[in-house]
Amino acid sequence: MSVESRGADELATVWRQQLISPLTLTPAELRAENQSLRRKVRGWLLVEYVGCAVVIAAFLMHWLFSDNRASHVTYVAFVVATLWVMRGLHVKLGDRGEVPLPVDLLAFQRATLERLRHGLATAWRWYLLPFAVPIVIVVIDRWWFTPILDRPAHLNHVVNVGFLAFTVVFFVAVWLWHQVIAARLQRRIDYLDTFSSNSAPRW
Amino acid sequence: MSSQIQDELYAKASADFGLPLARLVKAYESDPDLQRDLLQEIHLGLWKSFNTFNGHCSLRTWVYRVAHNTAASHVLKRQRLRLDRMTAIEELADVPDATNPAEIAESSDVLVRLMALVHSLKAPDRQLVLLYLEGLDAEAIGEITGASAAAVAMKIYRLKSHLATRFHVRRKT
Repeated sequence: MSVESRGADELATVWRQQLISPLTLTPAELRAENQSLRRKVRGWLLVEYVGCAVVIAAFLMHWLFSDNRASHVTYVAFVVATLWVMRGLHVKLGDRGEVPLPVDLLAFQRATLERLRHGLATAWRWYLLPFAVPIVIVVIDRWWFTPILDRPAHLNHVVNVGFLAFTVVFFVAVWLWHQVIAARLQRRIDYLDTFSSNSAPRW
Repeated sequence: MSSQIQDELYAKASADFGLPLARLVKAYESDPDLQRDLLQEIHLGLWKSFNTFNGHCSLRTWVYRVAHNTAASHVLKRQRLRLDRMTAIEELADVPDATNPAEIAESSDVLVRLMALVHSLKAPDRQLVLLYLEGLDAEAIGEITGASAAAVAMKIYRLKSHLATRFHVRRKT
């Protein structure tokens, strides 16, 4: 046996001799825990639904009390956008409480990382773009149809352009952040490739 | 599958692999409270998974796959923004020992250093190291991880070499 093998095997022995207490759950405890987890997942979903309902209710209230047609379009667009984002959150992030499949570890990690990377790289489509439409409608409405009357026109335009510029910068920053994280995840996926192959570049 | 068989499979897995699972949790999570939560999550995941156990692989392979996948998901959720800071086995020689030398001198605790080393590894490397430390051979590790036996053997060779160097030097000082 080589020196390396003996040293590593000694470490393995030390590792297995750790003082720890194992956990054993009875079938009743497991079922109770499973029920508790389901209740938690239902609770998270309920919070999402309530949040969505509050936002939609706020826009619907504005819609009801506004007599301007362009504003009506804006509020309806916000409601649609909110529903679209909620759908996206539900679909993309709806795996809470699921059991990891007993597939091999590399396949599981690859699937998990690819799902996350895809979710982030495409988040702008279901997370930002739906709100871009109503925001543009707001600016058009404020510019041509319902400007603030107790302000000079040029000041209205400055406010509108400022609002639009801030929104664009915010959206681009969020998009860039998502791309950075997605790129990091891609590097992890690339590492899995080199890990599973026998011809890793560093070897 | 009947719930009785599911319960029996869980009881056997828990009896046979209870200690390795508890050690695995310590290698993935350093916070004691979160360790307890993660261990419970793994046990619950195992029990639920046995509802679909089909015998196509050994109970050991199944248990380790579910446990490591659950733990890896746990780490990914908590460390999503720090993914780049983990180390590969091949890079260990370039990374300083993460533990406090004073603490080591006082406790002479090889296990503390080993745990710190394991915590610093990237997920697939960590999984391989843990399976190796649990006494599995390259073929069994390959079956669990999905890596080729040659790749696993090469990794283990490098790991052994690195462990011998790092821990031998420390013992002398």
